[in-house]
Amino acid sequence: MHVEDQKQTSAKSDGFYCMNPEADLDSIYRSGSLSDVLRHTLEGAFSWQRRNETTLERTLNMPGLAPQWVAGLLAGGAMAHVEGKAIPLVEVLRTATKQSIKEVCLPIEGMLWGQAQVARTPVDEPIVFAIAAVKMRQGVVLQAQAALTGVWPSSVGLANAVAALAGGPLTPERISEVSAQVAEEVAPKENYLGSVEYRRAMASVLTRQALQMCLDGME
Amino acid sequence: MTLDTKTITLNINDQEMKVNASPRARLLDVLRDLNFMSVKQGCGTGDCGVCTVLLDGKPVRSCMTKVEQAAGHAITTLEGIQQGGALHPLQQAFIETGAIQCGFCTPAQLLTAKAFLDQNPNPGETEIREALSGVLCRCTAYVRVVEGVQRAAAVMRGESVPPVDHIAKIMPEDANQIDLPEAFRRPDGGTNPLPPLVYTPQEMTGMRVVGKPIVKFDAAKLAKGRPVFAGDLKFPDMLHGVLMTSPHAHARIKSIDASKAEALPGVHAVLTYENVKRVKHSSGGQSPPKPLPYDQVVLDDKLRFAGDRVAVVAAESVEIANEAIRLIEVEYEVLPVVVDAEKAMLDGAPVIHDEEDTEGIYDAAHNIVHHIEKEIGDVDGAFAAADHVFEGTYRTPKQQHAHLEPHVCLTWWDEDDRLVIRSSTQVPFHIRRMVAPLIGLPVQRIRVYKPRLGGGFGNKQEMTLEDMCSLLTLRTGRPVLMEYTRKQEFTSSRSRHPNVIRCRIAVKDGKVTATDIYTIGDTGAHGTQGLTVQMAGGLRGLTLYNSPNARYVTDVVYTNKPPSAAFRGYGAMQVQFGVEVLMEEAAEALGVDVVDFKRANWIRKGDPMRMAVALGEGREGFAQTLDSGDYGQLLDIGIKATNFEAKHTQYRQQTGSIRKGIGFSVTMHGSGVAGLDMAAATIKLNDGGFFNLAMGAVDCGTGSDTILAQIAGEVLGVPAEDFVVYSSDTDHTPFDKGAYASSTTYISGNAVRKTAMRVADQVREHAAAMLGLDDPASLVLQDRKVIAPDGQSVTMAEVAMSSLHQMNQHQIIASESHMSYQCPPPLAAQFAEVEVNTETGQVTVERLLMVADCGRVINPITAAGQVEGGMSQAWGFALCEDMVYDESGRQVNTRLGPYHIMKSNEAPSLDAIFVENDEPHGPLGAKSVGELVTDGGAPAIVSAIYNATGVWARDLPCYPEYLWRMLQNK
Ligand code: FES
Ligand code: FES
Repeated sequence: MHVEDQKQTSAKSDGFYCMNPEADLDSIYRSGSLSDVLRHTLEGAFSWQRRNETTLERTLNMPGLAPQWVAGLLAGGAMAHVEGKAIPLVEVLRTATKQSIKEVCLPIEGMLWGQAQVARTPVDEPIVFAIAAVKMRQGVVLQAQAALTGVWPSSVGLANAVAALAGGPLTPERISEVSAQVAEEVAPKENYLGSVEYRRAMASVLTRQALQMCLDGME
Repeated sequence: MTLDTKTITLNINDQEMKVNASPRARLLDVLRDLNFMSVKQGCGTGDCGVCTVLLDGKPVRSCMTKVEQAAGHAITTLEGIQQGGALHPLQQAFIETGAIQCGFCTPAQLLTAKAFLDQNPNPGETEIREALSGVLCRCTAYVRVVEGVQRAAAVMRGESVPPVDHIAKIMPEDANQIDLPEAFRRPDGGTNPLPPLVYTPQEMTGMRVVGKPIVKFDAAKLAKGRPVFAGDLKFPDMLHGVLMTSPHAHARIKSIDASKAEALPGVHAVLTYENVKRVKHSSGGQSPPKPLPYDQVVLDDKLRFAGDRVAVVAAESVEIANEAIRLIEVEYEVLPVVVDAEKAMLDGAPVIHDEEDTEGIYDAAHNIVHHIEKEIGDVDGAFAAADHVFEGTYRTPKQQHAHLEPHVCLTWWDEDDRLVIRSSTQVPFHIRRMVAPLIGLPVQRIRVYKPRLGGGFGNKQEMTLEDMCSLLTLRTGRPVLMEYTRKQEFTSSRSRHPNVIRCRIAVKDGKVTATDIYTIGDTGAHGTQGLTVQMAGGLRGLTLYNSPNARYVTDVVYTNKPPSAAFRGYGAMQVQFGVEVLMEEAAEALGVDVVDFKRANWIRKGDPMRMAVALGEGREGFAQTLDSGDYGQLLDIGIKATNFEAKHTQYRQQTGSIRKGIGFSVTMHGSGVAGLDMAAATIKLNDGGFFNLAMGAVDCGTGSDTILAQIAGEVLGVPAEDFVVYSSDTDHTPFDKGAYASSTTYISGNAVRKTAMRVADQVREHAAAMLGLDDPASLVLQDRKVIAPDGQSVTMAEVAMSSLHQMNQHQIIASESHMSYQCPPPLAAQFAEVEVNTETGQVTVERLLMVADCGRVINPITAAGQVEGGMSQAWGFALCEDMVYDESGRQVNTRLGPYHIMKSNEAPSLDAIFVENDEPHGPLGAKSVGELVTDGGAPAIVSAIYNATGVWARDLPCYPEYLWRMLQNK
């Protein structure tokens, strides 16, 4: 699980897709290794120009540059390789050690992806955005995570409640249950695009819609 | 070379160049310093993409790229994509399809498209839209841009492409019998561009030049990225003027000390209220006598909005000027702020204009600039006798023009010691007259001209920079360039007037018997255009259904926000929004079909426009009738093209969280200002048989230079390309009030038509003499010839040769002007289809279709461009565009990103159908089209949202949370 050639932007191995932090987002976008849902975080509001100018490393240093993309990495359970160790990216983002990331690897096999957002217009910067990734084994959720933007004091965050899906089936009822809990967990700041109350409500609605999309993908 | 500069080698368009620059300098600035003027700045903050260049073939924003990052890479600008001097297929296709309006975004669109087609020679339409999404365009709504890329891709693949044209159909007597091309029903949805569709009554056919999709005259130079905009000219000794703006929304300057700034090396002048003469004026570019109050001065000691003028600096560079601004010491007395117009009218509200030298404020203590009450008939009696009374309150946002070229002004002394003002203005003649007293120069020592304009939409009808820039040249003796930053476009220029519209209608026997409208127009810190915007709104809003009993009351109110002023739609957009939604609400409450209800009440051909006398342009108007047009025709065609009735019924039954909706509105605008607007033109015949057409009319990118030449060509029997057009220069063209009030096609067009008719008479007379005939009137001008009834003819070139050199030598030339007491309304039916997510409140517009009657369509491609671009601005007005203020009066969304205008990858299908009607007062039957196209979008979208959800979105813009809350409370 490593990138042999630093000039190479990415490589696939062992069910992971590994990205060089110096790779620009457009090369990652075009690699063909991202799920459509994750790829979609680099379109729409995010232009080709921005993809060309922005490296993966910059987005990790400043998640606000591409919050939906970083949310996707978190939801997908991306691992950062730092000083020979693989550490969950979410932990690395909480620390100041991002400069020393050698590569970022994303599990790509057997993942179900879903996303949902609300914005004033289709490609306006989302007011609230949710992206979910679920791994199933024999009808049981092995791992589930959702990350949201627009509902935290910082630009991106994981919703812990969704992890509770692990160990049981993925059903609309269980999805509704964890999504309702997400509304309790988030800590939105209001601005002209949405109040705290609205953002909190949307955190729940959009997490549910994103997980529902994962469920739909299973069927 | 300053300390941190170094020599950097760049590869630009395959040429190696060495530059001395700071490695941290923006690539944008370095390229423009090297005279690659196709590279534009629209924001400087990464939001607009018009600065795009290619780096190793990939598009990047040059304002976000440091020059050191570009070293070692191949840089391509638009100057580099022509192949052996020939136009690139993309350039050719953009010219042909009408993808270029103002052209300010065009270099970036072309480069991005080139990079894309190099990667993907056979793209789908959605892929094209996604690829182009990083470059904003405010004019075209991307319809013809996408078509241009599709066409170029086909050419580059070696396919043959047909000529670009519109679809021309004969209009049957009964609109229900029209032959509607299947594509206009959008059977499979989608957003693929459709050609403009024009229905012409049989009796209006037979034009040879008019009605043809002639390529815009300026398209080629814009496609090549030539330096044609105000900021593209440089002088070696040019200074840069930079404005220092107020951080406070309301404050008094207790003291200001500019001595440190003045002492800074490289600074040549600092202007403050202490050293500039106080001359009261109003910044609106309108004909005199302009309505009071004259509540502005060049620089004041009282600041009335965050972004107001504090000082102006002229320095050797923008950086030095900015440093000087940091050195200006200002002590402010911060005053209480009011940003809400209704609160501003209350007792005890902060008084924004408490100065003693402003006359004509209606009630300064309550911030009411104007209070107007007009009434016809017996309104109260009609309400008392009504079967039903309906009322509603509606609110509209502070929308900003967001033209991609900022305001730019360049001033210098010419060799005759006359001041030249090269400005991105819509009103050169007004600017000359208005600037003169402010700078103390006689009018005759000032020349104002407009090069190409990178969009205006009304914002450049104001004097914003010209006074300051001129004063800096007078102080320094040097050329001075001033340009607003994008933030200043929001904080220091102008916007649409937010309105509160309270509407009441009385209905008896299914007829609207009375309409009572009260509006509050938020004019911001100055009253410029406030009165005329609100009166125009009242006139259009009340004429739509033309009640016999009507009352219009309006208060124009000051707030501590940047001044509102002219914006495409000009009050009509706001008031018609209220009227149209109330008509829908009334039909719903009455349980009658909304189409039938409106059909029973709208104004009809031959009807007097009842409020036209009461509501003129800031004063009494003139009696007018509706002499052309039929809403029934327009609506019937739109109903057919959208399958309105079936969808409208079906969508009411939906229950899920994703719901469709369809709605429509009818709308009208004017064509010029009755009894006020005047335009003139001169036409001269030259050796070779071509003509000069000089006119004051201002082409803002709409193609008016071209369509006016088409009018002249139709009259003179020559193709439009036989005219060399020169427009809008106070020294070299006749007068024109400028590009506003939807007057260019109608007022300037009539001036051109009359001028061409006089030239035609002279041509006939001379040709008759050449042919030995004594009845010049019997000669016909056609195909560049003058043809006698017996078939003899002489060519236009022979007439020129003879008249200039051989026989009865004289110059064939004429000037004519035009003014009108009629301003015939163009009419439209606007349809909208939406999808609403009821769980989030998000509205997605899927289709906007306008069926428009703008009289004779002079050029279907440019007219369709107006419709498409106008609908995109209405889309923004309805859904997202609003300048939002915090309690201290500071705008919170001063970047194009958070403000948000339509991008290519979210545009709905935007379709234009024209129904020609012969307007008796119009040039060859034409009326206006430029503003009509914005007026109907919002009520149609709101009508569609109601169809989907059962709630009325009365406050715009319809943000998701607003709709979500209404759905929660339903
Ligand atoms: S000028 Fe560079 S993105 Fe606007
Ligand atoms: S043509 Fe695109 S901004 Fe004007």
